[in-house]
Amino acid sequence: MASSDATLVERLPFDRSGDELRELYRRYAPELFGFATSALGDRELAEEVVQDVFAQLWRHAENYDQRRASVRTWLYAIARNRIVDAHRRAAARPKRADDDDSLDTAAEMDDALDHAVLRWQVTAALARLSPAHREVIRLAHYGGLTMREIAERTGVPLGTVKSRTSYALRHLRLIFDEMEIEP
Amino acid sequence: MTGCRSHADLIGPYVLDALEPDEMEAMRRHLASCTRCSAEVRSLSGLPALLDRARAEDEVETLSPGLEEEVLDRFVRERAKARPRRSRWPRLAIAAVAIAALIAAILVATLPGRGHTAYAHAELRSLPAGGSAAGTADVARVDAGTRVELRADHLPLRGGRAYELWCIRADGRWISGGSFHARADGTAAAELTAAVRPGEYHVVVITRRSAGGVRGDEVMRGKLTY
Repeated sequence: MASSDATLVERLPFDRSGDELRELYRRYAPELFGFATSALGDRELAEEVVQDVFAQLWRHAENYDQRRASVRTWLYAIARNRIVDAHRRAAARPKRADDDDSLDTAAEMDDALDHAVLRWQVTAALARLSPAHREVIRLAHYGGLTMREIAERTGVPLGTVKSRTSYALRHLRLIFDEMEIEP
Repeated sequence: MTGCRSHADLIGPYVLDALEPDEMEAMRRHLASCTRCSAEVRSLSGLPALLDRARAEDEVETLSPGLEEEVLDRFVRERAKARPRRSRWPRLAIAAVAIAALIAAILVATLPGRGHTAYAHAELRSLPAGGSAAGTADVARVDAGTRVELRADHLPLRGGRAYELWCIRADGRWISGGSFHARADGTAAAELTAAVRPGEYHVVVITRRSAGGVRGDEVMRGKLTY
């Protein structure tokens, strides 16, 4: 049976092989990277954030208290701090004339990070759909096409497009439920 | 819950506002009298707002394959540098252990053929992108994992001096052992430590250092002999 997140963190101070860290990395690095990329819009910076998150994890594993927060919550909190630092560093640089998206207050930063998390989660949920289901949602919701227009564009029978769209939304709802995201 | 048999397929398109105007109106009339369909519409009605939080062109970015090993490498390096924890053993016990370790070390050092810690060796041969490069890799087990001692010469300098060492696992997976720089004369000597298990790796490859998640051109490779 796979070890719980908390057990892996408790073992980290004694982890000489790197096995516990590797397992935690495989569980959380992809979503932390998605979050960081969404918040920073830069792959390389996002990878630096992921590296720093895991460095903080192994350096402070002894301080982790599972009664206060889940490992996931803890890792996201570390990632948030690193992303805020990255934004501050960027803000400290001289601004270009077209640089109008800086975040001036902590509240704005919090809002932006919440938005980044949700944006990444929705993107990840869509990625879990089959290509056919994803396509009808993209064309109908993001493309603004009607069922008839989608049928004409894709060559798929109209009845199939309608039923596929309904199945796609039901599946998406289940995925959001699994991710504990309330619409 | 799904909608009723006659209208279940229209619920998704209705929620996404993707039916023709006359169909939308007919569906609204149906919902006024069908509890099954109206319940499902309610359960899905929050999805469009959620979908608005992403953009159509958003894609799930994937991590660079080498990042996992970079993180593990940093971990074992830090662990190797970390000071030993303060022991609670009595001083007498520490002294006894130290004397025993000294005796053991003397015994090991005096036994023929036991002083060398490398357990695998590879002769690295140049590949087309490597010109006349050549080198050796000796693999040894250390407390922090596996250490690869690399010696190379005639490394091509045009195109940069940053290189990366890789170990290829039996299942074909490439594991980064870290990066190093060639000297101005094309030689290199580096000790790279990685959290890998002995015996899992059979091929060592030197490439140009990865950039933006893309592995660099292969310069040399060699098979490990255990």
